[in-house]
Amino acid sequence: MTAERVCTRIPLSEVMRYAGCHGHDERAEQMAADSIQALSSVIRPRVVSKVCRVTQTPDGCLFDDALLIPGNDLSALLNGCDQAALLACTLSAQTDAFIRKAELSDLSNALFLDSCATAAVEVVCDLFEEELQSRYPDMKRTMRYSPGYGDVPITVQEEFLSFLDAPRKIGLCATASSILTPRKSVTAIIGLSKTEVSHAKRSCETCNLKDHCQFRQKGDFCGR
Amino acid sequence: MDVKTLFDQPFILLDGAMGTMLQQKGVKPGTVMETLSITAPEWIEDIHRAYRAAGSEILYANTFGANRLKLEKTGYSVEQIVSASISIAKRAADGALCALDIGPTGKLLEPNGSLSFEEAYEVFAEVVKAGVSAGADLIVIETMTDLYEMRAALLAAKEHSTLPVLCTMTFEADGRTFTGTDIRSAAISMTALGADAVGINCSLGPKEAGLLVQTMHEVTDLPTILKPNAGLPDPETGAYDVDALQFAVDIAAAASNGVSFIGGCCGTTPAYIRAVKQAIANIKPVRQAKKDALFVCSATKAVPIDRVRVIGERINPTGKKRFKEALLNREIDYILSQGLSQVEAGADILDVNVGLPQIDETEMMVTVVKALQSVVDAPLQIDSSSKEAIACALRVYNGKAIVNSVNGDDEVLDTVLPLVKQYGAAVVGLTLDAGGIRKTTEERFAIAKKIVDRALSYGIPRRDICIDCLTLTASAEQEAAMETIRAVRMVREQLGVNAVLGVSNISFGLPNRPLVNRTFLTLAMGAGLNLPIMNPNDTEMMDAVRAYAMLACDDLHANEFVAHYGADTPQKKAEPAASSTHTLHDAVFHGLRTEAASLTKALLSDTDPMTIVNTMLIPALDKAGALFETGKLFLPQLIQCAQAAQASFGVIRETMASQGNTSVSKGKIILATVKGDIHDIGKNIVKVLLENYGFTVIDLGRDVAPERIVQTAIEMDVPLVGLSALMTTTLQSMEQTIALLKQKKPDCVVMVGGAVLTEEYAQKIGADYYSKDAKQSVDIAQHIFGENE
Repeated sequence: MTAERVCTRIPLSEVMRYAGCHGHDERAEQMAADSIQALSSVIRPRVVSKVCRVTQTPDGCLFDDALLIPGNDLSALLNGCDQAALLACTLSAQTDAFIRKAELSDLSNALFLDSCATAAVEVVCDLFEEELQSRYPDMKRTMRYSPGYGDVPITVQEEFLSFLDAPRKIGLCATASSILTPRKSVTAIIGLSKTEVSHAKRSCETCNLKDHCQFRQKGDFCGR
Repeated sequence: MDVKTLFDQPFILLDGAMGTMLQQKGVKPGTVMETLSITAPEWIEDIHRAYRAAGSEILYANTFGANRLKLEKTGYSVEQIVSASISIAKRAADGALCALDIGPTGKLLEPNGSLSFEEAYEVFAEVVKAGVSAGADLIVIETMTDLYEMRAALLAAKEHSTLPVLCTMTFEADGRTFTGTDIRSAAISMTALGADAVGINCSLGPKEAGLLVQTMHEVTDLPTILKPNAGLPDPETGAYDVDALQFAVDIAAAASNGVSFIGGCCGTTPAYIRAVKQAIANIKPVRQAKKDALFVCSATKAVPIDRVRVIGERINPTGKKRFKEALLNREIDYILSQGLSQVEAGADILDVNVGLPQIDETEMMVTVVKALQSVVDAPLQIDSSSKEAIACALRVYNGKAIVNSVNGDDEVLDTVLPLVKQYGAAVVGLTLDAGGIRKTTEERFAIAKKIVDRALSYGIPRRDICIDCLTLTASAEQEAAMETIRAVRMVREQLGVNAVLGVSNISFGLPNRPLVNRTFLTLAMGAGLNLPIMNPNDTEMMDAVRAYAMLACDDLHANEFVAHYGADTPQKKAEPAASSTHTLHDAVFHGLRTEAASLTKALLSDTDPMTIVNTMLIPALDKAGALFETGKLFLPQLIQCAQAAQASFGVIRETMASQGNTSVSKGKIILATVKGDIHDIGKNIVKVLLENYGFTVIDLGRDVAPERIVQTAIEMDVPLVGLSALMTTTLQSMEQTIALLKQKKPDCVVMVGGAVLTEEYAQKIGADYYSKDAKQSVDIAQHIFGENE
């Protein structure tokens, strides 16, 4: 997955939204476009994934008989899925360093770069899903579900990463507070089912932040 | 066989993969493999025996992840696992050596992650001590992707054992690690810290990795190591695509190009090692040629001192009031911006001097070195006369630095040179001693020779020595100028070391200083000066450096010269303020930074600074803030206004500092992202806004312990603390920080902010104010400090 390919897919509107621009502004749009351009030579998208067997247990979902992830919401999501793709991806440490440096010289530019990188890592996930689609054309996919959503504890990050060997394969680790480092990274689970799935799209219903989400308060939505 | 005998062999055969072999035995992914040394020791022993039978002369014990961070949840101690693993390897050794194998902690180090260098060192020190008492014959540190982590492990190995240490890192096909370290910087740094051999493991297939390891031969005299994967894994099956025979052919090619330690990583098995053993049987070993050029490096950039390289002098408080103020107020960002602007102007190396009598130089040096290396890739020169500051800076510096400086005084030499040797730094020697500066070239040369001889006697290679023949002021001692030039030539020609020289002193007290400086610089470069210490922001000086590089054929085919000057004549000056059509208020409101700065400069000639702040800057910010609150202006625009105001403030502060006025502050505020949390862009936005409303912000950064926040609040008597957290997992540490603050400094007000916070939750954890955005934090601060009431 090349940086150029990822960057050409970043929607300008997403960058604007993450940067807190809820309307039309030419100068801001130019800055957003420039930041996409700038990141295309900086990000190093890296992905590691595994398609696993899913077993529902009273304690949560068990992947390939090795990784147990608790949470009723995840069990509900994967209801009817025999398999699931576990994904970890990152834009790499250079991206963080680039934004860190930009913060010193121009904070508004850094804010756009940061927003752009957030949008970019979502694109990496989208591209992964497209590959998944072509590998499993007959399977239905659930929405991407990440540790920290609903009642799935974010503290599973470390085990999740270690299951995928992500620290060694793509340099992605979790801190003691379960923050993914490098910063612009995502871990996610995508259920695969032979029949229709009930949670194909993201919604606010299962989100922990739904009561005080700033996007929602403005009648907006954080996903696409 | 003992280590020495083994290392004298032309080729040393290492082992192959452990993980691959265990997976073949059915071990599940995610298993902490090291625990198998206790739960299934026979498996591990079988694998060791199979590699030994295939010809491996060094067996890597099953201790790769045997550190406390990875073992935390297993119920086993580091000592248990390490001693069990080493005993198994020893049982299977049959004459082979047993290596304590050290891999990454599994956590990212600062600044990319939150594990500090010092913590990482402690983690590795524990492993090393366990390995030594278990009787390991040597230490291997492998699969590192972060040079900082490699340094922590290597220092721990050197300081807690006398065993030989083999170091290998893992690179991508572009020749960089995940964290951006390039091959040369890796090899230079590992060599500097005292590794016994350096190389590459894991990474790629033998052919690609074999080519990459050649790059290490350019910069190190040490034997090299190649322990690559069996090609690339199939994304579906995980099977590797290079078979044993092809693997052996590729490894043999690398061996005939000078690699001496060889083995395999992921996907390799005893069959691969057996094939390699056969393939190298008739290969003639190649000795590494001695390297004469000095290389310095940061974690991501190696700079060969094979031509004139500019050392930027601006990070230094001497004669700079604004810089002194920044040090006193801990404005690290100001210091960093001095570093960035010099690098942009063409500095190859940055001199770092933060010595000021009123501050703790060592603590400041460590802070600044860590901060600088997180944003600039130019290598650093540690400039201090304090042994402690030099030692601590070299320890945390992620690369190979230069130490500035020693002189001919025995006490200085015998204090500082051991540190230079310990950390493998380069060193500047000033040609003076307790007797002061000598007038004649011959006397200075004699001191230079003494310094060189002493450095050599400490084991510091000649290439790492730089001599400063000292620039005296031409207005006071006119004849000294050419003596210095002569000394530079002698030092270069007769001692074969590098020449460093601070050039700007030459013109002190003379008219047309730039002309004198430039002429002197040119003469010195002609005499062999290769490390001028100068202001790279001075374009005429940089012009002279570029012209010299072209004339001396360092810049071959004048490529760089033409690239730089080939277009039309460069713009001389920014547009004059007079041509501006905006008022300062408008310039700030529209976020025009350069214009705001030049308008401020013009205004200061007849307007009181505080009048500018109160009648132009703050009203513009207020207007922007009001529009932001009603959704008519967006966050980036608000930040742009703030940055334009900041540019204006910068000019005002510079002026006030140069007039000896202390700056006027509306009050002190501490900002910090709480312990465990590493998000900081939101906090930085709050900071820039607060500063532009005239508040002094003490920015403690991210991942800040409660104790440090409380201690700073007490010591600097700060009435308002702003805390930020972005994760549900770190709200707890926000709560702890508030509790500690309320207990130790009850009069201190706390405001909090961050995505996962709400008004109710803020109240619940004891915060006085909840700030929903950056603008509101300004309102809160104004309220606390009694404005706008």
